[in-house]
Amino acid sequence: MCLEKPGTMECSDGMKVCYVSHGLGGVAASAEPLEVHVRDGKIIRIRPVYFKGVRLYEIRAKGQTFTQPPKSLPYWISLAYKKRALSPNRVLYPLKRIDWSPENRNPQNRGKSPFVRITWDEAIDIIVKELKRIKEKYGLQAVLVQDDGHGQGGFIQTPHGVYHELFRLLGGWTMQVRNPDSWEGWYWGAKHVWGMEGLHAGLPHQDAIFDDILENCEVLIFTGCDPETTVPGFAGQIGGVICEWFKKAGIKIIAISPDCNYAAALHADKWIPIRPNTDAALYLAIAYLWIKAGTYDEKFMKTHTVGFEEFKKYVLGETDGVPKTPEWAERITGVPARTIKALAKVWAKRRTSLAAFFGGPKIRGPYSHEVARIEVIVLAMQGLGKPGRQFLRGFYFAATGKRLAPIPQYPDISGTYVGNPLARYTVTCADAPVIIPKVLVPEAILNPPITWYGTGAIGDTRESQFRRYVFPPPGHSGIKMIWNANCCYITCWNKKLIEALRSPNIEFIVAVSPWLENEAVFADIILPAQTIFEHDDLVMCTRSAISAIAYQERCIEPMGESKSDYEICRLIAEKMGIGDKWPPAEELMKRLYENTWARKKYGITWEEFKKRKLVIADHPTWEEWKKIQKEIEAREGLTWGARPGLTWFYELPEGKGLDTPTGKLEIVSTGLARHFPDDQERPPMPRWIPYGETHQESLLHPRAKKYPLLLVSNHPRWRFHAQGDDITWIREIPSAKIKGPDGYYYEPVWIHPIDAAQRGIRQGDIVKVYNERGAVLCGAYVTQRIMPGCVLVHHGSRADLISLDPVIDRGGAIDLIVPHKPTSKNTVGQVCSGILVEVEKVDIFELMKQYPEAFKRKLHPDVGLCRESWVKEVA
Amino acid sequence: MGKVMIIDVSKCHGCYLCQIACKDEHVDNDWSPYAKPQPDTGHFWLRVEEIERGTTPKVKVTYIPILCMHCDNAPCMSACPVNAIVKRPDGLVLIDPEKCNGCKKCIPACPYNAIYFNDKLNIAQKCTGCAHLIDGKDPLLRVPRCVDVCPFNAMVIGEEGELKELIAKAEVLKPDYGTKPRIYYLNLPKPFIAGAVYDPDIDECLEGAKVTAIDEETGKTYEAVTDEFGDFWLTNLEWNHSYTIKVEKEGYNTWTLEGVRTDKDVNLGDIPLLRKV
Repeated sequence: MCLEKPGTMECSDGMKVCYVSHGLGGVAASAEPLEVHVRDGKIIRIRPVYFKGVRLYEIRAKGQTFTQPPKSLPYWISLAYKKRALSPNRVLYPLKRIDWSPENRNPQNRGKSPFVRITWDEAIDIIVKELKRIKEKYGLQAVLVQDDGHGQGGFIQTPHGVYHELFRLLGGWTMQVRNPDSWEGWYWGAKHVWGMEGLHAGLPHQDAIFDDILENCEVLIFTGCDPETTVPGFAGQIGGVICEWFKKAGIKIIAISPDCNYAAALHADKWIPIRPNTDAALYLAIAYLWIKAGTYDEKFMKTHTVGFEEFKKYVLGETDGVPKTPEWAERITGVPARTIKALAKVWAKRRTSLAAFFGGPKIRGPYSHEVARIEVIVLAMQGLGKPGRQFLRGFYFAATGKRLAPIPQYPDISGTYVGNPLARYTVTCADAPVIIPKVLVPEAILNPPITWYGTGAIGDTRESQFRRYVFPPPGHSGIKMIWNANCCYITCWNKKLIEALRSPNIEFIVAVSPWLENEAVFADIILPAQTIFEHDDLVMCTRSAISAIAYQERCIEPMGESKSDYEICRLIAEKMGIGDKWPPAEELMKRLYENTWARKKYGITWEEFKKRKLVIADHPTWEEWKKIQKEIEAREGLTWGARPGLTWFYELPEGKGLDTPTGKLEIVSTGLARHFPDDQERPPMPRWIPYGETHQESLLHPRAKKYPLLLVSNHPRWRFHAQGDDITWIREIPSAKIKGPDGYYYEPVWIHPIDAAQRGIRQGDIVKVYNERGAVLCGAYVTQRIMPGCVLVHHGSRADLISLDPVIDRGGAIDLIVPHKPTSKNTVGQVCSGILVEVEKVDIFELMKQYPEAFKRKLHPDVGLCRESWVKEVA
Repeated sequence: MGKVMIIDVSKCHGCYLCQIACKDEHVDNDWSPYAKPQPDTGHFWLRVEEIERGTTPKVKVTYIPILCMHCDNAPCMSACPVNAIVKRPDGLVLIDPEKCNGCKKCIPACPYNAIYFNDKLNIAQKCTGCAHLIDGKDPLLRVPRCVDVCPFNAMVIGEEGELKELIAKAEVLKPDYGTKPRIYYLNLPKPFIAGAVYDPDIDECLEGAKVTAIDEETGKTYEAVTDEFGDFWLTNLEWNHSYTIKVEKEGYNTWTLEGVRTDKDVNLGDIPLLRKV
């Protein structure tokens, strides 16, 4: 174990060392900490922490040893994070929209009018008066609190979810519940096949999984999987290290995706381009070939699954007259039939696993639950859990295993996950008396009443998807006020919120944010929040292979008059008369520290911990790790942790033990058959559904005549969803932004040379990506890394709207033109990838003439939107 | 004698941490007398070059970090009219920010485009090898930021004598300029010729076909065998050579293509083999 000796980190030349959280996944969890060097209240540099005196993990496989360098593995945003603290984009003072007052609210001007500076006293005064007024007139449940998702990695001061707790204590609210946007299809679909309850959004538990993958896996299919992009934001560059493990273990990597993503471009042995949202057809054709050739695990299908006979009939074409042949799939997917045949052979013959390190194009498209379910079925057909045949999910945190971490850690370290209870609202909605799924918020405001099924909360059960909800419930006035503490809806969800925010029904909007971004500019009052550098906090490193706890000392004075979210809650609690219910931050830190392994296992007191500032746990030796697994088997038989991944399930003579009604893999899902027997979009047994009542985003649909390209919108490489778009050192990277002839940094749209040439588009041109919902301006990035017929724009770019109606966005916020309807009619997932669009060159100087007001907005030459764009300095 | 750096391109994941760490160190931090701060944007004392290679679906990306080569025969030094550029005993080349007169003559002299101009301070600036750290001025860090931060240990700095073996296997960029760089590279990209072989009669990928590239000038041959997808990658060829490609499999007519030039990486696409009659 590593304990920093007290006093070693203070230096004679006045340089101080602070530890800070790392990663932007939020939920009070961090990757292993980073070291910040501070002098005279200024951050000089950020660098990795080198682990001294720590026994690192070792995975032994194929006669080799696998581990990581003994240091933290920052990624581009975490290394440049001081730029976020110092950004010209920071909200420095409380702001009020210039034409909002309680007498004259002017909701129609939201998103148009500038802001002026006010004092904290003025801001709190307005807020408290409004809260009291709304409480009296409507009840506090008229307040919609939007405070979920990813964000900074501190433990107490900055995680999302705290404002839900504040309103719970104030006496009521309506909670926006975030959908599992990186896992939609697995959550709404795969869960109905294999269960997997817990915080895993429909993906299987990963106990000791690398033991099996590295020893036994021969072929790893990256299904829209990009460990060089989606892992770093959570866990630093362990994703890249893991890719090196695959190569060292001699595993062949086949990447199946419309784009040759960042991991595929480096590590894939083969890239199979596939049209967005057609993977279900590919899998069905593979199943067809296996059935015809008898090259699948028939015994396993009999003992471990239910409903296979019906699936076989569907695949062979006996139910709908369409045999799912490779030729049939080629026409749909764009993958050559012979490649499908070869893939089917390889998958059957060689020990093949699937890997999805979050997201990826297919899992966020229309009807994504269908492809996810079919994916589980084809995995089952080769004996899911047989050595080397697993589903490897993204490296998320140690707790992705049920009993054991994916990478060797002592269970009494990885299992003692101490969360911040205030952040629980990011994963559960159990406390909330009234909820609205995030995807339905605009509809709930504009066209109530609405009904739906399920919550979308990531920790919610399969059964919760059968529960019906109505909004507003009896006695509820509807939403009259909005409290928004994570301003990313219009860039990561859809544009319909714009209309909702400007509705006269919404009397008051408060935004809380460190940065003036996205829909913050639609608020009436904006409160300035802090970055991690501006306060003391705890750092709980649960999002990496290393377990560590650090005390984060404040690095710099708070910027402007910013306060941490925790402190803002305290301030409002006090003013509303419940200050006694919100303890000072240090008190809560101390209390939660008592439950950590540092205290319980190693006996380090709070005072000693504060002096040492960093505790890193040892890892078990390989022999110890294997012994731990044997002990689980001895105690509990064949179950999670007794074997790596799903191997325990495979070894059961009759495969029961999953969280499904039958305990088996349900190809025909018991729950769906009971609750939605006639659902054509998510039927009891999955199907290939190109388009339907809810979505028409297919080349096979008449809309494709006007919008013949399929847009892929992935988790971005150079941001974490919507975070970090303003970092100048990243904006200078070629595939991050493209500087237009007007000096503006445009979000790239990846377009194949064939499609570009057809449209007279060259590298660096400003183009519009559009459909009937609106247009988003991008810079053309002409590349071989995208399949012809498809284009790609990473989501999360800061919206910079030139026009609200029609929507024209200069900032490249691509989700402004995605559908606002959920994944299918009985679910509340979102659809944001695999959308029909067209792309055309634009003359930016012509647009400037058409929309002079919008283009008058002051911009920072390198950052783009900044404070000056929206804040009017009153003399 | 002196410091050298060795960069293994095969270990570079293109994460840009080295490029960003360099900015983290030198933007808004004054390390006089070694260097004054660089502007927030526009300077890339270390830059990552990103090279997209091949065509759909045979595409790869290679990343190469490029910095000042700290040349032993530095043309920037000869170009400087006021002797502001100095070579240290440890091999590092530094521009003295006080002596620099802003004449910009060093900038076009550098074949590696490693020197940038600071308009605000009116001086030329470039990588210092983080000499202020190497010299032990900072008790917390004694290696250059780029080396410190790389998660994949792609960059190594050390004494020339100690790194002899690695240097022997390495090469420099643009050796023809004769500047004698102290930055060495392992595994610089060599071109590939790739393709996919299939039988059009049965529409199946052909495994086990032997693919040969014959250098039309030197006669050197390279071989690969197609995998289950009929894919082959002939690698480690030479840039700007001309090759004859032969694809052979028992029971099929041999397929040949002459004059395949490696001015770029080549994807021959889908190659049909016709059955022998």
